[in-house]
Amino acid sequence: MSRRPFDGGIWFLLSLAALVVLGVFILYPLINVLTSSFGAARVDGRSGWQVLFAEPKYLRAVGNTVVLGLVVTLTTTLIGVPLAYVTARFRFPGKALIAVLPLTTLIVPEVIAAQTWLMMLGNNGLITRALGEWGIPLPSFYGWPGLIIVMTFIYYTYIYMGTLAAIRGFDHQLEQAAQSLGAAPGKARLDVMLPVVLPAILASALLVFTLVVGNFAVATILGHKVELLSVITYQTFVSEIGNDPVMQSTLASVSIGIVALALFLQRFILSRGRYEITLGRGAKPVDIRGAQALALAGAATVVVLISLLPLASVIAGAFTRARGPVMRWGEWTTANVERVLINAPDPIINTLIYAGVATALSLIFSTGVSYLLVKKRNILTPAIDYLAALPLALSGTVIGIGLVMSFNQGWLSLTGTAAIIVLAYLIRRLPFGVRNASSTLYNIPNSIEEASISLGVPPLRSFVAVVLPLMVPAIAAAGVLVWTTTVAELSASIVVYSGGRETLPIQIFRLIDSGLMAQASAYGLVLVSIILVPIIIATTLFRLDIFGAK
Amino acid sequence: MGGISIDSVSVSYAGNRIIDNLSLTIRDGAFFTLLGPSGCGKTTLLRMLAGFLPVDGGKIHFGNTDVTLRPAHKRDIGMVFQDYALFPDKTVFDNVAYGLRARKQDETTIRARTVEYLERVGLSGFEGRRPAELSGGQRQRVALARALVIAPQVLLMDEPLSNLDAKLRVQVRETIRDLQKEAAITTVFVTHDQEEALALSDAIGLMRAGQIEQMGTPVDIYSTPVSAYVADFVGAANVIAATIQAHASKGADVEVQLAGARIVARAVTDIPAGPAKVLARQEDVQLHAPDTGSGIPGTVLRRQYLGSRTHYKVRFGSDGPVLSVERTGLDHGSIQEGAAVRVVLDKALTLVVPR
Repeated sequence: MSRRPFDGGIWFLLSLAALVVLGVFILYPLINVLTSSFGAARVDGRSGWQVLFAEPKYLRAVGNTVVLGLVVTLTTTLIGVPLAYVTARFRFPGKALIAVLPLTTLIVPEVIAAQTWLMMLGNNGLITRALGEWGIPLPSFYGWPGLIIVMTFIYYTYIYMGTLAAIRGFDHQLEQAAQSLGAAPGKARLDVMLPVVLPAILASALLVFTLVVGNFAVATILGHKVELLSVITYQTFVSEIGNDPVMQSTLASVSIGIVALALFLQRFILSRGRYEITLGRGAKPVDIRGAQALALAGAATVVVLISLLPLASVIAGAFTRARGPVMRWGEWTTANVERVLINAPDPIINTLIYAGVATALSLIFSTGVSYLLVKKRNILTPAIDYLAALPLALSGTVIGIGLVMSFNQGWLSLTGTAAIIVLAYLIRRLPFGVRNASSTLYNIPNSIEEASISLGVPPLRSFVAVVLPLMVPAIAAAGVLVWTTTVAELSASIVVYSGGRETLPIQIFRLIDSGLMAQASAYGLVLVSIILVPIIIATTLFRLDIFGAK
Repeated sequence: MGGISIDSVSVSYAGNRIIDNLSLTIRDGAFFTLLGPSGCGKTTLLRMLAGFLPVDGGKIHFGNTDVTLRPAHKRDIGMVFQDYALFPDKTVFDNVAYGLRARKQDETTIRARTVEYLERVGLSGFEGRRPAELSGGQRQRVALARALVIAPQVLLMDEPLSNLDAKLRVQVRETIRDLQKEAAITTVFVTHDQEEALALSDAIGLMRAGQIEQMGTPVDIYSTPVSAYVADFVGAANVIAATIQAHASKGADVEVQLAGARIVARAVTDIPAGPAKVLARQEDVQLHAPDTGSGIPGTVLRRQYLGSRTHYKVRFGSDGPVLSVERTGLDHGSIQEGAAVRVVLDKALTLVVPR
């Protein structure tokens, strides 16, 4: 037994505590979900897996989900990669517009994106009706067209941002080397750049696939007759709650399996081509003028405008007079907004409280966990690291179901409380916070802390005195990110919430379900403001670099 | 005050024993250098002295105080890091004052001492700057002031000069030596740079694989290396495999057969009969004209004229080893490649070490 006179003991205990917390709130629910699928359904005694393979509706949902995932991954790649290349390599009029892109996906919650596309292109939509008056019938937006279009425009920025970072980091000299060896410029680019950038594209593509498979908001609002795993899982949960958890667990397990398989495939593909990526000086953007520039600027503008469409329509919708489900476009009113602010502000208050508590706890927990992960490694570290990243592979619906199954009764009964909503938020956004804080900590050398200790300040106080101040900008940026994504969270919270605890996304979802678009828009406007205000304050007042964009 | 004594200490890291049963005494006020290649355990030893690594066994004393189980922040050390480790968000003044504030000194004292030490390292007027606004040399001076201002019992320095360019390295090196002498603080300095070690130290501990291979003054280490490893690490030496016929005791003259010739050299330690190694510093190998009677015949294979000195590669005998020879002064590359020479190995300057 080695003598450990110093701080080894306390850090080990803290690691153990973190591991226990993660185990109870992430691993235990997950195991519950997975194991329940093997139980016998109360109706006919078959196991969930037997039912799954016997009922065509379930198999169709699995097939549809995988197809949708693949199609959207493809379409987002087709938009995101060229856009990233053009942005990284060329300068053209209106390029600054593209800098807005990362913002749009963040500030427009999925539920609002789906809603606004419906307001435009749905059966009763503004564009559908306008074109109808001109005698041009539009095909139904529900089902595949709506799912693919809306998800494409929600998710392409992930591919765009991932690819952009990789192209910018790509050493331009490699390309020049290939050219100097006699390769034509276009071929040189393809030969040399593609293999280096490909892992980044693949990683963001996997992320998109995961998000599509887990997507609940768009799937349920626009899916209509197209059965999808996330929707059917939720419906099974709603209809069977407290009754027969076998089928919901089985379906949740299937979606976990699909994501796990995709992760495995990605690892496999990446491991076959192992090379060290040398980060070098990226190429300077080239000026282009004339017709080419016009075409590029035009294309970029179209993409940006389509991305901004939801934002514009939610504002318009919020101030448009409505009678029941019928929107009277062109007739303006402030009644919708007044109503949600004065008569029914509960969802707003709930959202602010739950997300506020969750963000604060998330920052504290993820900063602490990251510190243990990066600076105080021990034998527990890999397990903590793995568990903290696990929620990335779990959809909100799965997390929600796991929580309800695990904390419905018994030693920790949380169902029906606000705590379970906060918990769902915390778990879903934990990987965000941990990744952010970890990367900051990696950039702070250990020696700074050791310098403080060597000057006579105890370890914990040294951390607070010299390390924490250096982390503050990053923690604040992470806080804004966690906040914006938490207030927009729907898929987990809708599973765990109980009457009277509606949050904004839940309320908006219910209003869309009832066809009350104007009121949904009004809540949507409030939600977007709640998201936007901290971003604006952080980026302008505190000059935080939230999106890693320079 | 007081020196440092390390008594049969072992350190493991991630399951590997980095330092095994090492003992060492450093005189009060001495400038002691741990010299060795990367991975030899010198930084581990330093971090163990600082209290950042726990020991598996043994005792460490600073003066008469047993600090083995004392945490780093209570060891009363000053530490200077390779990457400076200045607090980037604090000003130069606040960096230097940090340790004094931790010691709860009153503001007047803090102000006076901080200003005094910034002056000593030549940075008066830089109080309000932040580390990012300083050059590398200035940063390391701040780090030095920060470590010294608290008047620590022991000063520990981990390759403090390695991030500086050659010219600054010499400047900061002189500052370090001056301040250390003035304060007479027992200092442990870690480096892989032999020139730094020779220039700065009162004593050097040359490390190899977690052990002290040789300990002594810079002159000891350079002129009587106890092994080929030491000779090769400090300065450049010709290391030639040879055989000795009989047991040689320390300091005795030994006859060695080398490429058909018989030379006499001095045994550095007790060496058993059998394979051994002969060491000769480049500058100690003499080249004479072929018509002089002394030495062994050889041939110049290559000549490199370096201005202040000329570097030769010389074949020893007709098929013996190739020796590196360095001639200074008026040589000016006067011996041509291909020329015949006579190689003279002075018996006082040629050493035999165990294999």
